[in-house]
Amino acid sequence: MKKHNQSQEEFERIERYLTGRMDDNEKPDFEASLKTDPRLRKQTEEVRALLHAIEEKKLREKLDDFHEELTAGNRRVISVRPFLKYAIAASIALLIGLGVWLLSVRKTPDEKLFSQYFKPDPGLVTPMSTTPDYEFYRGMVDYKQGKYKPAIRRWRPLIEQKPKNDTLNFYLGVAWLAQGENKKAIVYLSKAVKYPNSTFINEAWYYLGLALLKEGHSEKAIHSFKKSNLENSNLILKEMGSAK
Amino acid sequence: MKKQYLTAVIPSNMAKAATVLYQNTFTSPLVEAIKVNEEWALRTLYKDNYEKVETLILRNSGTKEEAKDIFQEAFIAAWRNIKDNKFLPENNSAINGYLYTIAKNKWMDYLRSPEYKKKVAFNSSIAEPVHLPADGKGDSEEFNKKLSVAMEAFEKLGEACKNLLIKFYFEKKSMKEIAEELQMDASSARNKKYRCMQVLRELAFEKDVE
Repeated sequence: MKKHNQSQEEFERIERYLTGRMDDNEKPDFEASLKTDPRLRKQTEEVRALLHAIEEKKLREKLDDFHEELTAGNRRVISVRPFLKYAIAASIALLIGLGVWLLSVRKTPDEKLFSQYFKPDPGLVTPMSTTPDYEFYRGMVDYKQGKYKPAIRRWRPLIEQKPKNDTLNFYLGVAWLAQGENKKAIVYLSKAVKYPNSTFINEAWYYLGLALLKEGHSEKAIHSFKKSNLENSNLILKEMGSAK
Repeated sequence: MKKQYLTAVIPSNMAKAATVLYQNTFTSPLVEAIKVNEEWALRTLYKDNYEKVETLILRNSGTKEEAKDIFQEAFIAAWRNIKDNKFLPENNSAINGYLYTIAKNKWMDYLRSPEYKKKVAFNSSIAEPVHLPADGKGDSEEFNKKLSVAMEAFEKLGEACKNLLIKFYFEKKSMKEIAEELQMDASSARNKKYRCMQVLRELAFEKDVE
């Protein structure tokens, strides 16, 4: 069974090649050996299949999660009673609903800009040890996996205890924004920008700008972006025709 | 190293470099994020496209369950080709169109298959397949066989190894991050990864080893 052992060095060399991390000094040699060494060729194909398999397995799990989220959101069923007057009322309601929907589906330039720029902050490194901020970091683990709702659930009691914590206000704001709850995002991010010495001050102004933009308050958004020194704030200001 | 493009928190010199890279390669931040399996990007791609595909399949004699399967297969094929640079979308709508076309072709292939024809007389009004630059059939049969064996083997792997390998190869976390999370030094994490990969390799290809 272990006849074809692969040393750690051999494995890591193949891995470097397949993940595009091999430098120009090493690559020609490796590619030359691939042509002449059938054992290396076989091993490389095997590792390639394994790396693909790991990614695809995990992706398939994620796709099922997304699907569930999607169908869970669609379970709102409208029941129409079989009486004419109710039917008429329902049709009118549906027509109004359709109008609102059509308006909301057509993206404004501000919303386009928002979706082009918005990406949740990557989050903080979470230590494994039990720190006093355990609950905060548990929420951060959820946050980093894109589970914004559980993260918000964990952080909410904390913000009641520490309403003036800049980090909490910032991440709660970004989490709400990622959930599409712009107004709630604005509430927290407006608090986060009140601490000029915060590590997150430039990010907080930037995300506040994005939240305001999404809500359609372009003027206020510009004001926010101008207070942030992030490169992205400059880029977005340029696109909005309002460079610093 | 985890690649980040046009994100908010990276230092401005890096953001500048990322912007240049972005402009030079003409790909959108979404595409770059898909390549590194960023959850928000994968979710966006899924949610923005599923409904259209479901509508197509429901209108052409399919069920919701079939729509889900076809869409997910198409999603994986599109994702794979984007990662392998076989398909270089210039913007988000190019990816959406690409994903839709793959799903449509897969559904048509199914409708034309003997398996389906046995089930029901073929009288669908669906159009002819559209030619695609890369449709997920690029890899050899032999490789695809290896891939499915490897996926089965991954199922059998212990939880600790599964989690570690996912952190490295799906989440694309750095050695440093992973070592920190597992509270071990970088060289032990590296060695653990190597050993997990050898277990996986034996589980998958043991019979091939003469």
